[in-house]
Amino acid sequence: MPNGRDHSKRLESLARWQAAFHEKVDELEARLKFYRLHMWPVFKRIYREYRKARPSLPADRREEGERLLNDARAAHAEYRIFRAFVSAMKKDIETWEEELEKTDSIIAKIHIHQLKIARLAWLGIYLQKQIEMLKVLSTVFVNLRNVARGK
Amino acid sequence: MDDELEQLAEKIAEELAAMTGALAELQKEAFAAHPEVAEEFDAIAAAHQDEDEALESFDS
Repeated sequence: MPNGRDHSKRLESLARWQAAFHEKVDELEARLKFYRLHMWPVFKRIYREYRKARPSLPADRREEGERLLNDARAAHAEYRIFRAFVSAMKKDIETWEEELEKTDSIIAKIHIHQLKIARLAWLGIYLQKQIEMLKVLSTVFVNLRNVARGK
Repeated sequence: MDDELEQLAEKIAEELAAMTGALAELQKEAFAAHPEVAEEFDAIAAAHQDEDEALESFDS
């Protein structure tokens, strides 16, 4: 049976892990935001270029362009599903945390830390999904640009 | 700039891959130190599995 000292040690350890997670997730989120801000305008520009060129493209190139756009839509749809999951998860955890905070016990505090670390781990995975989506979209839009330019 | 997108994609592959790798390593260590956190992590996914599947079906 763990005693009060064990609980305090566990609480301290969890708080350290939570702080370490926060730091890494915040860092990744900030860098990703930087790349997103730069990439989306490029995607939009290429899309406009393709739409402008589309009427004069041969049928096979137009088909290729549409196929590429469908790939982009599929990648984005997959990411949106995950975003909805993370958003729902965040709301649930906040509710659980509010409930636990009403109980002023060390066990509740331990549980709050556990939940927060688990949430941060999911946020990390969500950020990885965003990165994967941006990688797919980069490839798609480079190819779409080539289609628009007849390469 | 013509190769702007290629350059950004390359940076993402290098810089962000290193950061996600570090995060995955941290997760591994944290879950090893506190297996109960790993259980919470799995429980969160299980609690949302139905919603996830429903969303997928709406989307398809």
